[in-house]
Amino acid sequence: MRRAYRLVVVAAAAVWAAGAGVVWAGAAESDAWRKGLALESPVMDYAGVLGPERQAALVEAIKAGTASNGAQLVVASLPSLKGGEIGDFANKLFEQWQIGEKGKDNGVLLLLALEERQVDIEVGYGFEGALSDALCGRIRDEAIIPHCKEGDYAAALEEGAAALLKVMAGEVFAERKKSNAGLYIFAGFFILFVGLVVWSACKGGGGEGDGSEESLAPVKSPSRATPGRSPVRHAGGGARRGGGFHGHGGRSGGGGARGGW
Amino acid sequence: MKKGTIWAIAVVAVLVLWGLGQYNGMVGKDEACNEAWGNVESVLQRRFDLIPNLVNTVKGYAAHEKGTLEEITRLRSQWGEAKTPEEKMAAASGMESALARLMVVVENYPELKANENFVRLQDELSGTENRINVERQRYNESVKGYNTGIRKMPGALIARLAGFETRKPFEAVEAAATAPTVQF
Repeated sequence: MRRAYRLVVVAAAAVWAAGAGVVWAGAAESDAWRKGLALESPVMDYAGVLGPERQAALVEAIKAGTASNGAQLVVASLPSLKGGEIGDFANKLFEQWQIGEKGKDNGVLLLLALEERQVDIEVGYGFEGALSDALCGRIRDEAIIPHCKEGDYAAALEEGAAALLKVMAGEVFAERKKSNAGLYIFAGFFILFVGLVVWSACKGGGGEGDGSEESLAPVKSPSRATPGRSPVRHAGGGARRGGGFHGHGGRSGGGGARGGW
Repeated sequence: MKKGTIWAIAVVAVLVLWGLGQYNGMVGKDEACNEAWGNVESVLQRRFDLIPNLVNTVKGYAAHEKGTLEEITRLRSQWGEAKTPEEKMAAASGMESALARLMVVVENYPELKANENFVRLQDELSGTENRINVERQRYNESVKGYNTGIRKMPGALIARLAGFETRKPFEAVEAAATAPTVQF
């Protein structure tokens, strides 16, 4: 009785371990594969479905469509997810590539996985209003899947991107992050405090001439008071300086639509 | 003698500073968990907000599924009453399995499946499920960081002193991950 019980426990543990092992191995291979993917262009055609001319045209279309508001659209095709699940894979890839601007989260990722026959439109937090799950579902059903069914993956990417760009171009973005009011107030008090200290010190010292100049110094440099805006500006500058293409710290919470054909 | 006192004070001061550092680290991790949980709650709320529309749409086509729809409505009110994270996790898990069952049942109603409103509602629902998975994973990662932080020595001593308790991760529902069983 007791031995039988022990045997059952051991067998269950072995089955569980084997199952967990298989799942883990699949996830690990997919993770490793994903981590090796680097964002270099708005069109990352790993599966090679576009060809150089159509790829260049799509890059231009995306650049033109997102020039007005700093939003980012990345279109990617993969030969395989290597055991990954499309929704999870796309969200992690989005986070890895940091598509969109930090704080505005105005990025969108269109991902095609050929072996799995799956598509995912992954929407950054900032686009969740304009690109609702239902609208993404429609774009998926009307602009992408029909082409995929015919095997015309290039058209699927192009039309999917065009449909997404049409919505994305009309958007105007505000900082999504909750206000930094506390920080501003703190910075204000800090500057006031420093000013007071310097002012009283100068008054005590009597040197009116240089004193006023010095007391103005911390007030004149308000860089401390606007920390919220600096990353965006810096990121924009970085993109121009480098000439390459990369994400600007955007995040996604898994909104959008996914499906197979 | 005096030198000894100075040394003792120095050692105590270093220990106190170290303790404060540990404590602040734990507070930071705890807050990260709270923030992550807030995100989980808002996506769960999103799912519950879709329910009335879903129930009304399905009702028009699948009058036979009254039982399932009533259960979903009941679970929704359970969510409204839930206060603690544990209660909310329970309500959300219940809803997850009930919705999975409903989606299987829906297969028997081709007219409903062809309804444009229902198709978009399904997109909203599956998008929300995906969001829940994402925020749940992020929450569980912060909980893991926090729990490891307060259980590892020697920080665990500070955690014990300050009364930090381990937090419970939000596990996915097993029943929803596998296909629901059909009963005849």
